[in-house]
Amino acid sequence: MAFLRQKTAPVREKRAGTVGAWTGNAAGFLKESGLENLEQRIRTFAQDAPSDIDYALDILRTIEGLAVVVHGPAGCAAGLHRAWGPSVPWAVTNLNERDSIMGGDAKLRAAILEIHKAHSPRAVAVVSTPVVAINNDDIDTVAEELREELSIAIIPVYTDGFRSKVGATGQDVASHALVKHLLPLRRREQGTHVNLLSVAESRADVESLRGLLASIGIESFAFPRHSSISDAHRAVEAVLSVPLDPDASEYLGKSLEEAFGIPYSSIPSPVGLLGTTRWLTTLGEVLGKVREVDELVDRETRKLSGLFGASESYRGTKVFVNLPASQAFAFWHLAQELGLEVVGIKVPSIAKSHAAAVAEFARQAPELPILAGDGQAFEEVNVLGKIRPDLYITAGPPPVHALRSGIPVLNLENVAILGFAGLERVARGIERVLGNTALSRFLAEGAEEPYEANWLKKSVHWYIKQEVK
Amino acid sequence: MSQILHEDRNGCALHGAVKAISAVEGLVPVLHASAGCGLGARFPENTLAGSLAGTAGWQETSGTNLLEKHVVFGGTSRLREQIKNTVKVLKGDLYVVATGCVPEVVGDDVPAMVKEAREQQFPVIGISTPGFKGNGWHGAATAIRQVLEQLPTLQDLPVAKDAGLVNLLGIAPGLDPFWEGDLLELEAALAPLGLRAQRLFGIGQKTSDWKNAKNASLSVVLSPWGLEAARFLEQRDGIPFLDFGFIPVSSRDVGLLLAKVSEALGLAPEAATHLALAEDRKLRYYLRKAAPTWLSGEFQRRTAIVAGSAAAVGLSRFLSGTLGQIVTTVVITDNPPEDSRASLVQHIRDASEGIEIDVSFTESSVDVLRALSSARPELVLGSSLERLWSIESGAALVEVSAPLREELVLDQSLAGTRGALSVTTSISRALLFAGHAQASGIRPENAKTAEPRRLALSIPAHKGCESCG
Repeated sequence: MAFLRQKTAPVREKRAGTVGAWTGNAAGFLKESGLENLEQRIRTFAQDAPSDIDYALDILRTIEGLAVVVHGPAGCAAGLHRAWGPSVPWAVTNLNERDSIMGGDAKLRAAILEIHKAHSPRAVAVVSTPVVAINNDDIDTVAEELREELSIAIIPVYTDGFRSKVGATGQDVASHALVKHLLPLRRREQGTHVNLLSVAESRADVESLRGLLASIGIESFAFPRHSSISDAHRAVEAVLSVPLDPDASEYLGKSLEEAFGIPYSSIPSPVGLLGTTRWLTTLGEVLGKVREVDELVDRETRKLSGLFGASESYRGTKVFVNLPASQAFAFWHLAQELGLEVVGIKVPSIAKSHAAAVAEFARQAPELPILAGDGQAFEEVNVLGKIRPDLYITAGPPPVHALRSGIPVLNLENVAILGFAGLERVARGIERVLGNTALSRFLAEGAEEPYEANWLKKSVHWYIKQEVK
Repeated sequence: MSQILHEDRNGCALHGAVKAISAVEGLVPVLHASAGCGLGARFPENTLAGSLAGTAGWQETSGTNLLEKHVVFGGTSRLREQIKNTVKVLKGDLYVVATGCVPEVVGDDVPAMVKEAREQQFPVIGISTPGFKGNGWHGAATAIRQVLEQLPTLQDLPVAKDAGLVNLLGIAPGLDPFWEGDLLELEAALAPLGLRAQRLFGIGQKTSDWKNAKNASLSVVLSPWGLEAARFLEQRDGIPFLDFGFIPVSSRDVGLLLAKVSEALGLAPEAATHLALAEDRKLRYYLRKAAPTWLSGEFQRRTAIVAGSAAAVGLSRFLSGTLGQIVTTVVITDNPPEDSRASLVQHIRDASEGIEIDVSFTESSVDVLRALSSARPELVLGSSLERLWSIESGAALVEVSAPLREELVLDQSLAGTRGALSVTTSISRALLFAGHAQASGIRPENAKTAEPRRLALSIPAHKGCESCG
């Protein structure tokens, strides 16, 4: 188990050649990614962005039966206060100045015992933070002692806030910790179900795809997001692991494959009619359900045909898309299906592995702007001002900067967009948002832009430089 | 040893500092910290407490996003680069470098970088706000003092004492969700005395107002968190301060504030008395209007308040002293300095109408729930973190403290007659909504000190948003 023998997961930059700072167009990306790997780049001006801790907490907070202890100063746990959605019981060791010098092992121990007493969790994840990483606090020893004392899984999650330039490394760090410390050592039974690897998806998305699979007789369980500790053993009994987002769950899938021999099938995200059909077809081939998949696709396609006729009201709308890479590139096809024109794509990070997806539309739109960066609204504002889209579509933190500049926003954060039903939801959302754009127009009237005019005139890659090692 | 915090609600010092700086037009925070430190500041406050007054949105905070190499070799050169580029990208009058834990542990020489920028004529100052130094309230208090302290090193306003100018101190933007409305309400309350309030935060408050703070004739301190700045202004600029200690909710406490301010400034008392009577008349008029509703149901309830010092004391005095609620429990959650606690308790007892009020201090949700379980209130004025307990125990909840989930606070206040009336309508709404709860006497029947309730082991999804995540 080469993966799991390590203390934690490697950073995305090393494992997948992921780059968190890149701007250019589709043709330029293909040209560069045709080389070995993308050159690593850094920003000389940056805006605050989620760290690996935020990404890890976003997974852990959804696992039923788990409690989370964030080992660090109080603020490091703030990601658990997301506006919507579930949250497991949690505590923070609240390290103070003295602890930052003398170490906080005793507090960590006390915190795990306290949360165990208050909530009787079936497992406790200990999330490490910058101060703890710098001081090299001994989380392992505390975890080992309490594992015996409490007879529950204690899961050290070695995030640190600074090791990776790509916050999504936290997804791998959390996956690593869960596979290594939560799952049973070996599989006892062989099930017939499929692992739906969900690292970043909403419960609505997960449930919608489970329903789709169930309709053709495939049983599936989500892991790790929206799973529960009591059912975690199912993850090692599955016949196959499939990703909902191959970027987010590749490390997890390969870990499960290596540790338990569960094949991992990397399929692009089931976004839109084409994406969902592809996803299901690949799965059907592997599981011997080709006929059932064909019938399902026929049925769903017929159902959706009415939708394409109804989309006249927004045909030709120019859309800027800000989604995780695997969804964003798949969205190109969804946009085609709905008669929209994608005029810009923003992804949190990008890698050579996306070349195939980009190649599918690069011939039609070689000049299509692509921005890679987590957050970094200043780059978006620069580009939005130049391309002036009619609509901004995302599924994440509210893009106030777009609304403020007069661009209507469709935020799909709490909407299931995967699968066939997702296509319809996106269509309805677009219809609604474009149905009345008064608010964005009002907000933009006479509004003062917080950015210097000089920056908005510059080329968007101005503050991105190749990293000097 | 600082307390281990279950579901911390106050964040860290950096969070409080970022919120405070972001609430002033023209002040631009520049985080010198690892990634995610500024986002954390905004999660608990989230979109439901509104965006702060700063022109750039919550994902647009300039930050150095420190990496491993900066931890090892120091991050000063990264900071130099970030400052130099921030002034070119983000508009501002004053750029405030705020440090997180990492550069403080590593020992980056921030003052040297700030000095360098100043030599280039950029308006930059640096404040020390590592998360391990204290909670968000502490961070806001120290940030305000540090900014005031460093302003004269910039191009400053001349000293021109203004007899009618009063500084309002002690309200922490974002941490106190009603910060903006409260400041506006108090500004309006002081105006008829011929006084101009320097709110320092919120709409229309700029760097020039901060520079003008030294010309005030009085500082009014509305919570223990204003004392650091008030003492500093007293010492440096000879501005006396009035330690009022809490937010005046209701006409009676606004009257008290006006009387004390008049006295401190040597104004004739008649004007304040006259105004107080007018406010009383207004509150009485509207409470009579509420009376038919109030008398047609059981609105007089055993009540608990869970909030920061200033709001908790102010609300308790209004609910007990004017509205006639049976306030039995006040939990103060902002961890105010030890030497301020006795007077907070006294302020509460002064208006308790002879009812014994249990006042406790804790930041940890487990202790808050323990206090609620033992008091068994029928009405809670607290944060969304008390929502689950309220649902399970059948109590009504009015959200008055952060984090909020079911209230969108824009310019609403707790302060003044307006605040008292809006609290009254919120209480009515909450009690009507939770209408099934029967009122009981001052002491809960069969009162016994219940064990702190075990929190639900299942994952609480947000009401009305079961599928989110």
